Order: sequence, then C-alpha cells, then structure tokens
Amino acid sequence: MKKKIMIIDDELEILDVLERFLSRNDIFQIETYSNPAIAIEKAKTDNYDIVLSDIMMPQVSGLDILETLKSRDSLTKVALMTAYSNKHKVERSNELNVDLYIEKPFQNLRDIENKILNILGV
Amino acid sequence: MFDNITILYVEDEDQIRSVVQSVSTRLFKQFLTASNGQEGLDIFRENQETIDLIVTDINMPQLNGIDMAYAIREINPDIPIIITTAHNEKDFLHEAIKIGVSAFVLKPMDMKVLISTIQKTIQPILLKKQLELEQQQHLEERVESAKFAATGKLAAGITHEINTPLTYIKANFEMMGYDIEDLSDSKEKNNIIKSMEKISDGIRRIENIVGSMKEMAQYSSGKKEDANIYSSIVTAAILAYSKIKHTANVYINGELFNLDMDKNRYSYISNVQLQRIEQVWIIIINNAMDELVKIEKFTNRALHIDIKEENNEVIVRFKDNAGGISDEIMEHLFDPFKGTKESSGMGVGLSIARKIIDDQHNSTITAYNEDGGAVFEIILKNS
Repeated sequence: MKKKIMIIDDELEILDVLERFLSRNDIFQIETYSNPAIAIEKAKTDNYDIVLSDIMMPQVSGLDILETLKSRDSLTKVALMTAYSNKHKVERSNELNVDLYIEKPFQNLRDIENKILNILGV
Repeated sequence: MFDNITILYVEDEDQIRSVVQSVSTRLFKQFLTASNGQEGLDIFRENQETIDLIVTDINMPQLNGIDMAYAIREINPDIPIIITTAHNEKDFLHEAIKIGVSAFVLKPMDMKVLISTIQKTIQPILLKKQLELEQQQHLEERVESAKFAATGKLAAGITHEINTPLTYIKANFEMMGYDIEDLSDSKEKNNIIKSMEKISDGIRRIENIVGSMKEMAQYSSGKKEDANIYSSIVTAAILAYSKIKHTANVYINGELFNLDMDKNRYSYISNVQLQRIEQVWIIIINNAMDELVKIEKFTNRALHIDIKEENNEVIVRFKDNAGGISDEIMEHLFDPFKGTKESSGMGVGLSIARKIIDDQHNSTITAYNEDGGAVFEIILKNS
C-alpha cells in the first residue's frame, strides 16, 4: 500500500528536491505545499501517513502544524525540518511528540528516506 | 610616581630652578619650567589642556607669581597652585590666600617637603583621572560588546539566508551523484566524479562555516551550560579562518587545523557561557595572528592550541612562536589600551578576555613567555 506524504516548506526549491528524491521510491504518494496555512487546513480533513514540515515559516509555523495534527489524535507521524537546532523549539516539539527531526542542510537524503520508512513501519 | 601628571614650575632663580627640575623631571610625565610670571602665563596658555598643577615662586621680574596666579585662575578656576615662599614675603600671603592657593612650601625648599606637598595636592586629580579612565574603559568595552552582538545578529541573518540554497544545492548534488553512479563506466563518468569530489569538498567547507556561525548565533542566552571546550576551540578557529589561512599554521591538540576538522574528536567538558568563551578564544587567536604576521615566512609561523583536563579543570594553552611579549607590554598586558595594538581598535581585547574568564567564570588567564613565543593559559575551574 502506498504511503501518503505531505511536505510543507515555504522554499520551493526545498519542496522540489525532496519531492523528486522521495518520488524515486514508488511507495510514496507525495503532496507538496509552500503555503502552510493551506496545508494545515488540508491536514485537518485528509489523512496522511506522515507530514514533513519546515519549522520556520511565515504565518503558520511547523510547531502549529505539529500541534494541530497531534491534538486531532491522528495517527499521522510528524517530521520537522529546521535550520537552527534551536533548543527552545526542540524542547517544545518534544513535548508535542515529534516523530523525527531533520536538520538543514540535510546530511544524507537516503538516510532521511530510511528514517521515514522506519517510522512508517515499512 | 606621577607618570600621568604634568607640572608647570615657575622660578626666576636659575640655580634653584635647575636643581628642582633635575630632581623632578623623571617623576612626572612632563615637567615644564618658566623663569618669570609672564613666561609662566604664556606656557600655561599654550599647554592648558595638559598642565595639571602649578608650582610658582612669588617674587619674580615682569609678572610676579601672585599676578600670574590671578591670570591663570581666570583661564582655569580649578587648577591647583602651590606657592613657594620665603619668610620675608609675608606681605604676599594675604593675596595668596585670597586666590585660594592649594598649599605653601617654605624657602629654602626641602625637596622632600615639596614632593609630599605636590602629592597631597595632586591626590584628587589622580582620583579624577583614574575615574575618567575607568569610565572610558567601560564605554569602550560596551562598544566592543555591542559590536560583537551586532556582528552576531548580522551573521545569524546571513547564515539563515545561505542555509536554504545550501540545503537544496547539497540535496540536488547528492541526487546527481546517485544518477551518475548508475551510468556505465567511461572516461567522462570518471571526469565527472572527479569534479564532483571537488564540489563536494567545497560544499562541506561552506557547510562547516555556516554551521559554526549558526552555533554562534543561537546560544546568546548567556546561561552557563556544559560544553565541549575542544569543539568551542575548533568553532573559534573556523570563525577566525579568514585571518588564520593567510597567516600561520594552527595546531589543535597536535592536529593541523582545517575546516573539515571533527569538532567532537575530543571531549573536555566545562560549565561555561559558550558564546563568551568563544569570544575569548577568538581574541587570543586574532592577537596571535597579528603577532605572527611579523615573522617573515609563513612556514616559520605556528600557533599551538592544546586542551587537556587535569584535576577536574580544563586547561587551554595557546602558544605561538612570534618572539614573545616584551617586559614593558607584559606588565600591562591585561589593562585596557595598553596592549600591543594601537591601530586595530582592539586595545581592550585582552582586558575583556580577562573579565570574561575571571569575573564570569571564576577561572584564570595568565600569560608568559616560553621558547621564543608567548603563552596564554586559561584554567577553567569545574567546581
């Protein structure tokens, strides 16, 4: 069965490279959003296996998305991407039960892919 | 004794003047003399910014000491005036009191009495000068620290802007690598792989610099934390890289410093304010580079940084081979404005470093010479 991924980042080039890389694996069905406000509305109604979101975005932050998803008691896994390993934000998202942390620049795309598959139990 | 005090001494008798002058010259920053009141007044007008105290005889040709004192007090009502007087000059005393002279010294003069009278009179001026110096130092430190904070903010902004393109350059490049691996072997494939290794090296270097700047930007909370001193040294060296690379070889625990160095190769943990401590490392590294650059050949210049742990203390030792610090400078090394550099605007660097180490970390920083080089040793106490 395909795994549905939502990727949210206000930087189009980041969305592009993640989509092109992960789509090499047939198991993923990918949706990308550069507008986090639209993404968060979509995530309220549709079901995703995993949401991959940047933390620092205008208007809606990755933490808001995490909070929304986790409070819905959904089974959706959440991975947050961040350029800063900002301690305060790390602590806050740990409280909210983040499933995976990805630092930018990505150390290794294959490694990220494996971690995602792992979380999804594939 | 009074090495920041300038005195004007007015006396018409050449013999007395030259005796007093020969004894006093080396005690003061400047010992100006005049042979009558008019000359004294002229010299005062020319040097009124620097003269701190006046010692004058009373009975002199052209303009007597009292009239000169009147004229000088009109220019500067606060300047202390000491009058040297003989018993037969009592008539002038009344006038002298009216002007409010600071003290009298009886003639024939006992030099000891004169010096101790000057000392008493000058005390409030010395205090005032000290206070002014401290205020200036304080201001200078605040400017320096504001500059540091502003640079940090700028660096954080730029870092964030570079980080995004770096992320997708690196990710796309990685993907490209997988595609090229899949190609069948050929001369072209080998050429591409060679070029990719170079690009990959460049990306790693940019990533390392951006990473250090990110680190620097993020811990500004000022709170103490357990940090690896070894990695803070590597971070500081990366931040000083632009200066280091043209100046000297830097060795960290024996290993030649380069941008790809593993920051966690060693672990020496101490409870510190990381950003402040890195500021200290950068100051010392920059100072060493400024000295090393005076050595003619690049290959003859080296800075060794060694970190070790002993008795629950982390000891960091910076040793260069730039010829060492002269006794004269060594004496005031950690005082503001007394350092070796007038030009770079960092005359307060080491005084800030000492403040950070002594006051904020209750640790010690010392400097000494060894084998034709300067050594800075910092002992971070862990209790």
